[in-house]
Amino acid sequence: MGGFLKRLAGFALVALLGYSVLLLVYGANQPHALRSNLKYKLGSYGFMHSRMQEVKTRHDLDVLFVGSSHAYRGFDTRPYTAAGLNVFNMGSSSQSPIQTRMLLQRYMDQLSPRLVVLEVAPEMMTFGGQESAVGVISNDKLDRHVWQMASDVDHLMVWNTLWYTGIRQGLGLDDDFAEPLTRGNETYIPGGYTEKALLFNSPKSYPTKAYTIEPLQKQALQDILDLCAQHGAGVLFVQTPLASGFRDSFTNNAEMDSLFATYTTYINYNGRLALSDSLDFYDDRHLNQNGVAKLNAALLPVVQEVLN
Amino acid sequence: MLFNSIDFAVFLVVVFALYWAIPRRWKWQNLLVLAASYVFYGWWDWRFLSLIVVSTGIDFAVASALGRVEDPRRRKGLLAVSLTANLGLLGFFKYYDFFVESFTEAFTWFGAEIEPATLGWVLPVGISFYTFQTLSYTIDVYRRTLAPEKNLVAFGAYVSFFPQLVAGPIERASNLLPQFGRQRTFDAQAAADGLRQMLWGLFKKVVIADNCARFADAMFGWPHEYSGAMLALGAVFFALQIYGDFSGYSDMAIGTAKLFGFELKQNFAFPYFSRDIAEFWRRWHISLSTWFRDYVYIPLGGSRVSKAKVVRNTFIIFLVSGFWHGANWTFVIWGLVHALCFLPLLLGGRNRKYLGVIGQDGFPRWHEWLRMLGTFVVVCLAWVFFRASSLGKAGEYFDGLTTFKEWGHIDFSSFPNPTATALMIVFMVLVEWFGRRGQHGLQVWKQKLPTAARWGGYVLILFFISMFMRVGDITFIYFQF
Repeated sequence: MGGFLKRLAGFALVALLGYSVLLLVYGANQPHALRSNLKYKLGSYGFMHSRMQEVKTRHDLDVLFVGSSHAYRGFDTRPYTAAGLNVFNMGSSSQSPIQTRMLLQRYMDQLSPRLVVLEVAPEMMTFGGQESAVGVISNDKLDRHVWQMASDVDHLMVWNTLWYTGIRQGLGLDDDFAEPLTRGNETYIPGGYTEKALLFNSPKSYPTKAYTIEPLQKQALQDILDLCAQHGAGVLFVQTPLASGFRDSFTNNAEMDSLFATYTTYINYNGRLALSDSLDFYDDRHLNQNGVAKLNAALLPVVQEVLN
Repeated sequence: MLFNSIDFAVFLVVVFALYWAIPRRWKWQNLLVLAASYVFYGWWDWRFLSLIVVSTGIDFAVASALGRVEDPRRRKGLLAVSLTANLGLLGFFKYYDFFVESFTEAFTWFGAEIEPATLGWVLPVGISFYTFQTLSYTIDVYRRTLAPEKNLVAFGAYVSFFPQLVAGPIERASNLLPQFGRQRTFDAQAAADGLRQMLWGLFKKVVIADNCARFADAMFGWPHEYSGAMLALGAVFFALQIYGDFSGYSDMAIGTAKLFGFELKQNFAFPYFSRDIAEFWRRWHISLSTWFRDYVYIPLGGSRVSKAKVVRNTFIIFLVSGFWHGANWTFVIWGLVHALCFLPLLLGGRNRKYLGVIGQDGFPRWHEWLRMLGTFVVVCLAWVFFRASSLGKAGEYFDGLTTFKEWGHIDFSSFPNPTATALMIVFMVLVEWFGRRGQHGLQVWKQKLPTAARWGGYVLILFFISMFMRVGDITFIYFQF
């Protein structure tokens, strides 16, 4: 038995090393056609790498925006800066409350915002959080908060990406990486916002369905509130507008509104702004620059009032 | 508790450590196996544990009585008690709703209006497997080919042995039960081979079966949306899915048993490398087909009766085998198709033509390749009945297969990861082809490859599993049978 266990331990060591080498080789040359349980997204959608680089230079914020792509594509920081506010947008693709909690745990001390504006997309409450987790892992340093997030999400893709990122960071393979600030029709705006060239939407029809909430996401929302309270930061929940056809395809919007309203001050901008599904959106989930301007024109006075 | 879950990994490590920490005390080890097996089963639904306990108790008592009773009539009576109890439980849970619905449909067809009094109960996991296992014990004791077990714990551990409890192999009492009655010593070679077999089984399940399932599920769910070529590939995907799923489970079960010093029978012997249907049935779900051979076919007279009776016996065994898989006419038709393919071989005396593996002495000859391909095509077509949710759906599928407008249109763009799935299938086929002389795909590696190459291969398989496994709670197909 002893010999067997020793041999097994030896194999485990070899497997660990071999696996790491295979992961490194495969990850560096991952063919597009092979989708696998590894998603390393350095400098991927929404300029996450640039955002994570910039956040390290920011301190003493008035307002910190967090949330999914609705946040980093919806909360344009420029009107707030013009109004004399020190703001930063720390949104990321498909960021669910689990990732928001991790990012806040990591950066609240440094940023010490007076107000956290959390974009609450009902859809994010239904996700396990894998997509956003790999985006966050790939584009920032690994620390105990990342481990906590990975164990909360607990998905093979997240663990592989964590391992792969750890190897790359350990070997310094990404030290020289520089993300271009313009990619296609998108531009990274200092402060964390991503501006997209003006496009218009062709609304689609959707089958009716209902949001099914992940309990872990509810817990993460509560943790976010507790964390902000510990740091003396106010919290505002905001739901950004969706194209009406897409929004109305969900049968339990009112239930989601009730849920969010139980936590803190909550504003749902759906129906509050005069928006056209075609002219103010570039797809059914995201506002175009026209819609963004309308949203922030409405939100800025609210933020100013809360801060005062 | 699924084999491909973290829960099972933890469970296995704990039970393994405890088991071998009890040296030279096999009776205590039996008790541990029994307790662990009940925990393993109760993880799904503890309420159904009572069925296993009842089945164990009845068969233990019946067999003990058979050991004492000499009067043939009383012995028959005792056997009838066991058969009635075991088949009664199986019939009630598995077939009651089917018969009620079938009768209702029949009466509706004649114009009568009947409200079906179905139960809608969940089928207890593994009931078809452990029922057959306990039945084999009672029948063997009745036939006096096996002495009744005196130790209830050993017998309970045999009935509920967790590696093979829920999806086989269906172990004969004559093979497994004596192993519970003697000292087990740790065999490092066997344990290493067990781990090797578990690894290969896991690969077949989580990489091959679960990924192929995405394609098969879509094509069998909406056959009218796909071209004939896509549907042909859909049948192939299902063939690979069910093989990966079921043989993968068997490999993990046999491998797990080896870690505890038990030797289970081989359940799959590379069936898709068969050159005719008879060979296929010697290689597919061996524990079930030999069960039916020994307890149904041979008692009916087997092949040593008139041709008419041979035909009858063959149809009986294949139809019952189909029906064993599930309460649906699709399974019966599946059995019928196989019977129709098997009978000409049997009647022509050619059913035992291919007893060894293909290419035993070298590279297979061209006609063997053709026969293997032809057998695979027939098996895939029969799988259509097996997989379809109803005969109507099977009809739709065949209709699509034979609609020649745009037959060759192949488009996998709406499916996740077809390239990786195809590459993994090729990998599996190559490993199994070169390993076809062993008990499982990786066994020959031990004899043919140096340690470094072997370990490299294992790491590569682990890597493939980690990269391409389909994540989620995806159960095993045979749990429903």
